Amino acid sequence: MERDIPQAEKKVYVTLYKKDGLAYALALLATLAEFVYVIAILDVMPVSYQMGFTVMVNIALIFLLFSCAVKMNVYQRGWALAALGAAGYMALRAATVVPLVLRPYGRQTLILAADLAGAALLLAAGLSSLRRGGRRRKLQRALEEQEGRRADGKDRV
Amino acid sequence: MGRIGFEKVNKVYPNGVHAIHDFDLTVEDGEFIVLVGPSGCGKSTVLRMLGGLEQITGGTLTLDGKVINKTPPVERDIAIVFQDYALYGNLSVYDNVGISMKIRHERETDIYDRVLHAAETTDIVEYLNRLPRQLSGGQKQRVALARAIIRRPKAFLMDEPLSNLDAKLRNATRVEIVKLQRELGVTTVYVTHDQTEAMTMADRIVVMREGRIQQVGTPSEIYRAPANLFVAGFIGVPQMDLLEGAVRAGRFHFGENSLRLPERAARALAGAEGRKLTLGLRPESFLPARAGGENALPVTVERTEYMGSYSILHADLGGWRVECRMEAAGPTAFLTPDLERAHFFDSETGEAVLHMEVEDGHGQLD
Repeated sequence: MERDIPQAEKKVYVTLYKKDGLAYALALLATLAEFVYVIAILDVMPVSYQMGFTVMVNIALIFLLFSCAVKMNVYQRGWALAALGAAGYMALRAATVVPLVLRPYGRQTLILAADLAGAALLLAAGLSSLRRGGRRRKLQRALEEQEGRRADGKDRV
Repeated sequence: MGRIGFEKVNKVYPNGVHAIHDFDLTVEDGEFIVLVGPSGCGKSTVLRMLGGLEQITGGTLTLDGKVINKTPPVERDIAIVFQDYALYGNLSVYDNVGISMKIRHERETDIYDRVLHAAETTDIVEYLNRLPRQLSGGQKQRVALARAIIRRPKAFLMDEPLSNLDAKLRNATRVEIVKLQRELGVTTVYVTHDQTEAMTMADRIVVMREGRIQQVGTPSEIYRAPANLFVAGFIGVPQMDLLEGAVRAGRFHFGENSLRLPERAARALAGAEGRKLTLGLRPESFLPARAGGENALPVTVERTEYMGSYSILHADLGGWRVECRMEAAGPTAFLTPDLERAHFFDSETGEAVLHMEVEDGHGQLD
């Protein structure tokens, strides 16, 4: 509950009471980009056995992205790592799966842009969440230790 | 600063209902004023007009000398605490308290400072991460107070903020609100229909009835020198016993009974001989008597309410129903009204004619 501290440090104190709105917003935007990607790819990929897989994988991915958004909002480290993983998958997908496996016959630019934008947004969300969450956890530990020392002092008295 | 002025303020609704009649009042800076009266007397309307939630029909409303008749609520620098708290259910306590600063796009770190200060003042620091639904009524009310004080307004307006709390919590929160107001020194206008709240919290009380001010005064003034029969009957628990009669030859006659008036009262009421008067006696102004004597009247006790340190007797006094407060419960055949503490009112106009305690000199008002 310190108030006479530098602004940068105070921002960490604010995270004790505020949700991580930035990571949440970035992850939601990434979900939106994923929607654009799915709609575009399903329109222009050849009708084949791959289509079913594409639909299923993307449903799972959208669900994962939304979960990441909700959980990063409350500083959960594991979900920030999952977001980074998903960003990696989306980048890899743009480089390999789309041109080599799905082979869309149109809208390549839109698909590439949506895919890369989603990956970039998710990367930013994950890194931001990890950074803020890390500082927050450090502060929480420090406060707990402080509280513990105070309780010990009281016990001795 | 937070000096509030009402000058001949009127409120007439479009359907023609004249809710407030020529309301004149000055609330000094830092004063805790309580508007009290029965339901529908216009006290909440006065508060809403001051807060800018109702337009006034006539008169002048000032805040620190500046006329605010047409100033929008957001520019009045007044914080309102409502009976139902009006908290945002989807926001945490921290966000609820800091919402006014957030709307003004202030820095997160500044919001943090002020929220924490308000939370410490209202003792809600440990609930800052909770949602309103995870709080009790008293805690919610403290959050509403914190949200009000974070703005550092010129005045607080409170519209029956304790009505939704149970009796024990109401007492505790009452004390907290008064303590907080004293600490902050912010002008506070508080609306309630509960006279206990009015008596215990106010610097001054405004008693209202049907849109009109009946009396303005300190709790002591209101209790010991009610301006009329309405105020006399409204303030005090149990309420004042009123006996209608007339003064003749130094005695007050009511029904088939009469009481010998103290010399001072007889002198003061000499001019009112033959007029219908109402004798007002507080329940604690009766003394038990074992046998008849001067001014001892026979009573029939109908019911006794045991209250712990005292009892309330519901009795028939010569055909008049009275409620008396007795320190010890026991058989009582006679009661002697203490006329040195009596109040006399004109039965026709209802206006006070004589307050014995006040006129007496040893009952100086605060």
